[in-house]
Amino acid sequence: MAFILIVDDSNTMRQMVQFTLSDAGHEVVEARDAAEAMEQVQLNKFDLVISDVNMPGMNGIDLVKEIRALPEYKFTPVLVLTTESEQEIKQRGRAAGAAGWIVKPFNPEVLLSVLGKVLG
Amino acid sequence: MGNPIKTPSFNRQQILVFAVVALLPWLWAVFLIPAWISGAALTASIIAIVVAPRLMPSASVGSNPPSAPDNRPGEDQRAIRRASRPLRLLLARWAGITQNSSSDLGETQGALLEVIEESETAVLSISKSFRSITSRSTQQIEYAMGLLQTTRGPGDVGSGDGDQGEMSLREYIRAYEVLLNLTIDRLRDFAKDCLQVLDKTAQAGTDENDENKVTQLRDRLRKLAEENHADAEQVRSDAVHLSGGMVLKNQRVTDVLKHINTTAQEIRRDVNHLIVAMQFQDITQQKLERLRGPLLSEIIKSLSSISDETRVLSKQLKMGVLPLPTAKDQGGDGAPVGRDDSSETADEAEGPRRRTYLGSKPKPISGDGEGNSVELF
Repeated sequence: MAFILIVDDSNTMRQMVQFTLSDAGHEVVEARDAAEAMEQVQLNKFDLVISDVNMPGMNGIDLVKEIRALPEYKFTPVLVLTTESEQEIKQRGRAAGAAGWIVKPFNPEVLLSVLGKVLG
Repeated sequence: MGNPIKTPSFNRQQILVFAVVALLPWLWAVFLIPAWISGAALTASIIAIVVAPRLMPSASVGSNPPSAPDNRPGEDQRAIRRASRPLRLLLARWAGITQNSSSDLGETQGALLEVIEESETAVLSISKSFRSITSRSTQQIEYAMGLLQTTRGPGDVGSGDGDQGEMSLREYIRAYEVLLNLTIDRLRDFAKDCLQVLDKTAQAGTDENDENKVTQLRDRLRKLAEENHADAEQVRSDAVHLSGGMVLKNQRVTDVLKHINTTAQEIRRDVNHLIVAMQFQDITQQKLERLRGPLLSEIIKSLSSISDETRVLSKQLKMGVLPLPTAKDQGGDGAPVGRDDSSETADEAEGPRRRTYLGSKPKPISGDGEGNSVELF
């Protein structure tokens, strides 16, 4: 069981991810945008962060950079869950420090399998 | 169209030439007539040359360059108004259409926002209900599985070390059967022992009176032991029959459990497909936001600007005051007048929490309900 932060401005997406992860026994905290996510990562120590890219305010890739800049999150896996599938943007995510890229719509089994891999 | 009738028209240079030619006879006559008559005639001619062009109507000087604006301005403006009337009507219609279109697009934008919000609410509601249903069905399955698949048995039978170990219903039935057989065997052995004791007692008896009593007692006990033995055999037989039935029923329970388990796995797969399908809302929302935001806002801004400019131009035409075209207008950069103001309004209409998009349009949801690609770095 892992402690996971979900960052997405879409209520439905947050609910779908939360549903999938909670059902698998993980504890989940939600954030609507990058600002809320930064507040959460400073309050808690998560085992994994899953973030969208296209959000109001700071985008997901910049959020990954911000999280990576925190000493306690230097090695915490951050997954990007987005509709974006262009290689150039994926490379930007990778350069920012993302551990993986999942294109929406996600399959719950695939998401849980990826989680298993990144969480070791 | 027929050829228009051409009327002779002259410019000033031609009139001057005609005047000079007309004056030439006077040069001959100057020696024949009195000087004052020649002077008067020459003065009159010069005056005519100077004044005539000024008194000529503008229509008769068709090939002349345009006269100055202050030259009969009232007639010019009336002519412009007459000529531009169809244009003004067209511009008025255009202004009306652009204004209406802009208004309609604004309503479309609002409707799109409503669709996005309503679909989000609907999906959230469906998701919550669905989650509740799946949670309850999972609980029911787990409860049924727990009730049917495992049963708490006696600890001394389960593990042999006094621990309250879990055993299946089949194992429990078998253990119970063994216990029952042991009890029956003990009862039978006890009956045998009783009979043996009575036999020995009868053999040891000396008194005739005692022997009779012992014999009666022995017969009663023998009868009881035989009945006990028969009952024990009947119990054993019933127990075997009962445990056989229970084993059969247990087999059926196991089959039902397998079916429940298969159904649970199918439900799980359906749930996964539904989770994928319900993500349509987010993907549709992103597509509609892209349409609503940059595209519709830009069209609304452009239409509003065109409407405003057309109205101003129509008004100027009506007044007969046409602005001279500027280099910017002729260059045609397409930047409408008042664009900054309208863009502010459009931005406000889009709401405060608009997403910024980095790249491509979202991919459509595949028909098989499977998710898209995954890449681990």
